[in-house]
Amino acid sequence: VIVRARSFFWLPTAATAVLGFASVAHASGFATARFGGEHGHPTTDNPTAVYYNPAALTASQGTHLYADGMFVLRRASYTHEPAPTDVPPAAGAERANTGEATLTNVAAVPMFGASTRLGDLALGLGVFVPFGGGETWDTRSEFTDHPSYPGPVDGVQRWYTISGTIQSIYATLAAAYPLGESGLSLGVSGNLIYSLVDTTNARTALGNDDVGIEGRSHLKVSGWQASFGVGVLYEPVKNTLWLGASYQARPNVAGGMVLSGDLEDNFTGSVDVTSVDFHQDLPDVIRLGARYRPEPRLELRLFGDYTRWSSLDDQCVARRGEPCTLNPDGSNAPGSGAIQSVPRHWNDAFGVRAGVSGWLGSRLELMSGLGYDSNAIPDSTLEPSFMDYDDFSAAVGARYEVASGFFLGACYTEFYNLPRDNSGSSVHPHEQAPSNGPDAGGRYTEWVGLLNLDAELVF
Amino acid sequence: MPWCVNCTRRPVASFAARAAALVVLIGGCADPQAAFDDFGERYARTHDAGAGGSGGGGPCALPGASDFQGRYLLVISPAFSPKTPILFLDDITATDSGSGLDAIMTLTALSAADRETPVGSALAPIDLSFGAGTFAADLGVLHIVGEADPVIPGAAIDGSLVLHGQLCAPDAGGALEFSCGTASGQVTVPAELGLDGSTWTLSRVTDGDPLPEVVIDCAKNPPSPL
Repeated sequence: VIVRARSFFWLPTAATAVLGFASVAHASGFATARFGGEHGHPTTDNPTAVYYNPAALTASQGTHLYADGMFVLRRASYTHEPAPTDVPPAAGAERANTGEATLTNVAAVPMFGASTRLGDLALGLGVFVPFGGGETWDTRSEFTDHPSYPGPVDGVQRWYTISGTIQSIYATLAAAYPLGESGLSLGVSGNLIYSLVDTTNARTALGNDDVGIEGRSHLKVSGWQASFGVGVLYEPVKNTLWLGASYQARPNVAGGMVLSGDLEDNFTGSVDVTSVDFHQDLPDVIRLGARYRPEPRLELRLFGDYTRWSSLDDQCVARRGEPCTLNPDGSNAPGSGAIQSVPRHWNDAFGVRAGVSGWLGSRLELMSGLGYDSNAIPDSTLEPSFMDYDDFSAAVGARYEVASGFFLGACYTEFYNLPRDNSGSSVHPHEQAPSNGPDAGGRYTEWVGLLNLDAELVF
Repeated sequence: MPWCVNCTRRPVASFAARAAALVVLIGGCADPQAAFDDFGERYARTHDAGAGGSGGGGPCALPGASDFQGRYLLVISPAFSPKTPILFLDDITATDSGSGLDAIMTLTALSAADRETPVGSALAPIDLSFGAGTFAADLGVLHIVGEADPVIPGAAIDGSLVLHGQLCAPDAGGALEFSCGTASGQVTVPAELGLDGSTWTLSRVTDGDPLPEVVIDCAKNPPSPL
């Protein structure tokens, strides 16, 4: 946002908040589209528009080079108490599957973008990560160097995750064009997507939590997809009001993401490697936003997203080249080559955010925002590798023009996740193989702090 | 770019290299490979590697062909899930050879759901020879129907199997009633899984009687209940 006002004193009090943040570690599903901070939305005039709304590229002038770094501190816990389906504890390892697991992780997610104008035509490009997350859980000191059981040291949550990452990295080209003097602009983008899943968890061949036959599975798969985005920007009152709407298609548009790689298993002390395909579907996203500038030194924003996480019904590992077709009870349908599957049955989720910016002098912008994100994961399939909550967030930040056309910004957002307890609701032990897993009921808590640091050069 | 750790002239690879660097950043220091490898090291410290043995132990007399042949219940207890064995009816015909036995073994898998109903067709007969002392009977590659799979019900199994043991005539003489030992090999379908450290038992089936009690090892431990 480029504004040069003479003087204005503004205390950011009003708010807004964001679209569904999904922490780098998992919030609204595992969406991570928070690059741009308070200026990442469907009516933005910076290069994050290539994702949030390609039509908004027409709101920019000149050429923009943009970089944003999201630095995330995440703390989370999972506490599991004995469940009826748990395998009776082994002598000497009575607390192997109960108690509290914790993590404290730091992550950084860069985003790069650029935009320029060729006459009326606006062009943009970007590299960013709208879906992703990673985590490494703390070990349990009471099981360090256990003489009989090598598994429990990795924590109570280990049956679902010990250390892992999942992400889809987008490289995007976008173009937008204003329709005469109507105030209307249309935009379109094309995405080339590199997706990767790399995760290790505890597992038995039977999918239960028997520490006596506990092994490890390490899945590492990757693949390429394509998708597109379209958007519209309407500026009914020039330089005052902007309305935006956009649609980002699912990776591979109709879905059907298949990532290929290897599944390593160690159940008996030796490592076996199986060539596999990993099947999942990520959501499409609808965004709406409005930006209102009643005077040059004040800007109000309201925007949100609707992310169709219901597309993620399960995440399934099958032998390479074979289909992953599951019956409603989680068992293999005829002809299916599934080896492991995790039921998801996620729900569509939404986020809404309101924000405000005020300018002190011609160079300093202060901003704040408030937001809410709904939860995509039902109690029945909530487990430690993907946590999601109803969350509220608050942000404060500033942006300063340190030299003509060169801006530096910082924005801190804190997320307050409402704790969850799904004890007694976990569907995992009731699924049939290969979709079964230990009971994942328990108490979940999470806290996330996010710092956006960005730099923009305009010429 | 601070996250660019590699450079190449191929655009796709270049992006992949950058993506790989990005993975490290987003992953929050996640290191799944290290977590996997660490477990392997801990496992080796807490388990006896390569525990083997045979059903016999010590010198014993080989049974005669007439005491060996007949119908048996063969129980294979895989190391990765020992309490959920795979069961077969094992029809054995045997002939005395110069210093031992020549046998033909025909396996028919039993349902994992009830551990008694034959499922699928009998597997191709397997020729085996037994001599004095321990043996390693290579059953070759077995193709087992999904109904016999106790781990992923319905998923067919392909795998090689070698039985290790010692064939001993009963001290009191008469027909062989029970034998046992360890097994090795490799499951290849539905997933790659090693069988080293597995166990087997062979219990005679008497015509007209119910199948013998299922036991998974030489100590005659029972499997998990159905």
